[in-house]
Amino acid sequence: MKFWEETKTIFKNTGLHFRTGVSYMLPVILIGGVAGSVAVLGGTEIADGSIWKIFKDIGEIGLKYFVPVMAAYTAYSICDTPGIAPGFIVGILAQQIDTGYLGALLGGILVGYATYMLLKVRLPDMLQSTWGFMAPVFSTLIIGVFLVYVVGPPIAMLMDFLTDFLTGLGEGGSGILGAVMGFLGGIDYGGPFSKTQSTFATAVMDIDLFVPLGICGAIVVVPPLGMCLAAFLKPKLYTKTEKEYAKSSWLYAIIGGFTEIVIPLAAGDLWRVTVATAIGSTVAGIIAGYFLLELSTPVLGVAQWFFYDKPLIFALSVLVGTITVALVVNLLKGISDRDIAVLEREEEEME
Amino acid sequence: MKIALVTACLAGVAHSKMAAMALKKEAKKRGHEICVEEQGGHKLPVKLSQEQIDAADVVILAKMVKIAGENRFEGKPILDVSVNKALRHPVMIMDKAEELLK
Repeated sequence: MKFWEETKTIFKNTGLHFRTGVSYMLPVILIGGVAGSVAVLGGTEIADGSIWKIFKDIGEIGLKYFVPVMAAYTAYSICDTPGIAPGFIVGILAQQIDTGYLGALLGGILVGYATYMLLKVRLPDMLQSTWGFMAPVFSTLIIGVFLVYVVGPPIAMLMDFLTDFLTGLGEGGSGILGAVMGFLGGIDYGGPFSKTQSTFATAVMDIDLFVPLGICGAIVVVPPLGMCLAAFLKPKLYTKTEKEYAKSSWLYAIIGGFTEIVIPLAAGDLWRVTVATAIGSTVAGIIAGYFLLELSTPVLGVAQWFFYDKPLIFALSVLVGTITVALVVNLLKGISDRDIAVLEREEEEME
Repeated sequence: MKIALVTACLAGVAHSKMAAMALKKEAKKRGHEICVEEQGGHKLPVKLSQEQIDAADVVILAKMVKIAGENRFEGKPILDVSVNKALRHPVMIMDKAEELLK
């Protein structure tokens, strides 16, 4: 039956819908975060009516309303434009009943699905055009009630628990959190695991936690910088193409702040490179976590350096992580039987 | 063969561009014509023109997030893959695209 097939496709693609929501949400946090950080320049006591106050307000709006934006565009991903309005409203509702990010995510998916299904209903011609306007109203009402009565309370409890747990972590706990995030961030270079930890880091900004983002910002530059240093230290262990990628990778790491540049380097020697970057990034995560490195603006690359509360800790964690990656990967490559000459010949044949 | 390629990733800075580059290279190697649209959060996308879409024999969508304006390609043979797959196995994707036409 077509109905079940469509339902199945929608839920099978939950990840895609969720990522679409995140993709539209990121700029909102970015604007909020940058505006808020600039407002800090105005000092601790900001007078009403000053320009810093406006900046601060903009910052707070961005950091508050990224949640409904995410819900709206998760719903949009499921049923296009009719999903946006219900998603916004359900997202704000989810925030008001203290279910935060999780509630908004669930609400966005449910309301998108409900709108999609309601729009499929076939009515007599006379009513059909009106139905296009009314379906989102009904889906919003249905999912809103469902959210408040059924899923709201347990999620609110879970969020409470999560908030208490994460705020009470302290130095040791944050170190462990850093290790986990570092490991996830170091194994797939911007793939699903890395995105899981970076999404988590941005999500907890909703409950005023900035350490995870600090960890995230520190670990993200470690794999490319480490590979760059490694190729610089022992160029003999790398093929010509690999050296070229490695040489430019520091630029990507520092200016753009992304790890994807490591993919071509890892592709030719998957497990050795992955092990090394995972270890180095875990080490960087532990240092950043233990010293409670905070970052309140989700910007990547060179811009983030201005927003850390402890720039020295950031530098330390990146430095130690980078050196670890370089040493481990060169050690592993050194004891392997990778024949660079053969690999280079293959590369030439490819071209 | 004429290919229209749309790539979309989470932030629109890295994966979409790299997947586009990988597939472009593979297509050129096989002598196919390819035109590309990269979508993402942080830039103005260069849209495929209606003529380019009409002329395309096959459409490849390499996506990590929802592609804006997917209905533009209705009725065309569409190959729907993830960005990561396109990035790592461009050869396989191109094989599949060629198969789609047979």
